[in-house]
Amino acid sequence: MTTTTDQRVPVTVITGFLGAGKTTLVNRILREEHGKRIAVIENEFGEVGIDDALVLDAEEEIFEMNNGCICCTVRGDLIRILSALMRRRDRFDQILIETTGLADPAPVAQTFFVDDEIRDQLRLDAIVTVIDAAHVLDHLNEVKPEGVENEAVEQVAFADRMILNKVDLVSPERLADVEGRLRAINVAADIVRTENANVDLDRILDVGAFDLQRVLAEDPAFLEQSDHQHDQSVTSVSIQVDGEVVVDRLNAWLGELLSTKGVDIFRSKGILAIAGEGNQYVFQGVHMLFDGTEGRPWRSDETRTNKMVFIGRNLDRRELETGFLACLEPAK
Amino acid sequence: MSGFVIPGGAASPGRVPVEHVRRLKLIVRSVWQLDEDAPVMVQQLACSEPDCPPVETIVADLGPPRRTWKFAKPAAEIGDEELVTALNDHPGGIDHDDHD
Repeated sequence: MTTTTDQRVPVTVITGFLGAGKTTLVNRILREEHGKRIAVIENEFGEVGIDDALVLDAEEEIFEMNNGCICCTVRGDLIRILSALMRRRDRFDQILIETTGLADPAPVAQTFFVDDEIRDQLRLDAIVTVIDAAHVLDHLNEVKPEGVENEAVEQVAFADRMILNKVDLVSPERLADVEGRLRAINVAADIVRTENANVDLDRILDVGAFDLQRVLAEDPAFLEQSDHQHDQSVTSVSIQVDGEVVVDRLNAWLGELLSTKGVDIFRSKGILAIAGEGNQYVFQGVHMLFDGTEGRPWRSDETRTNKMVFIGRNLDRRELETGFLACLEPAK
Repeated sequence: MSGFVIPGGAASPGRVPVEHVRRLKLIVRSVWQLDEDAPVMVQQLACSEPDCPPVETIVADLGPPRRTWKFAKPAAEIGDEELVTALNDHPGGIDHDDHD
């Protein structure tokens, strides 16, 4: 989604459970000398008291376009605020959105997919989830009534970066357990350990994480799999296979997959080798909404390898692998 | 190469025509005399949820107050006159269930 010529304003979404350290992180971002002018959209005014900081108040307004289906839900308040912000484009370089602890990340992310005017001017750079190392397992394990989502699980599933905060409050063994659990849900996101939300801002701002380009290129953990084959819980399935993708087959498969199972597939991302194309194709989706763009050129000595990851509920690894393999040109 | 992946894939009525969508937005802003950058959304949806039609287009003036007009057809098939009529006949918004 991001390229060196991309002039769109990067947007970072900070999410995380109550008390995880989101506001501490936002305050750190605003106070640190990084030379960037940041506009902040908050659900409620916090204790941010930075001179010249552009801080706007958002009142979470879920816009269910279609009968409450999560796939068709965006944040009406954000669309309004972002539209207004762009009139003051000369006053900031970057936008930060801090969600409430109980916010569902899906409508926030989908807001950046649905509208061409927003897509033209803004790019979702990363969803950063702040996690309380001491309490996250309790939140993840909390059994919700049927039909009620576990927000903590969703926030981990949607993350491009996980800020594992308060690591000083847990033992190394507990920390290993926590990271293992986080990885089982989301294999594609970097985990950054922090105390007091003290994170190198280069790890979370303007990182192009949402397009997965750098993550898939550099992350050796990509192919680490959980043992689940058909799991009711939220997990990741990653696919890596050499070959050339036939566009029509990909469209047929992906379209059918996301339109029928988009409710359960929270995130889908990938870098693909399209038959006959010299550049990578970078693909990303949130539930049933998806988009793709040209990535960097394939190098002449580089194997054309396709990498995809799906994060969601009820994922059937075999079905996903079989479906994707059928999109490839037969080996010559 | 952008747009290789067609939203909705095989089940989709096709790519959403950007210029047409922008034209529909202009009509909404014009009819309601909104600012040229007032938040107006035109979104085509292909959803398989039981209560959703296979394809529909949502036209929304995000206000406040927010008003939506729903059409049980692809965005490309919504004509200028049809949209103007819907806006004028249903200034508070319209659901496709009662739009015929």
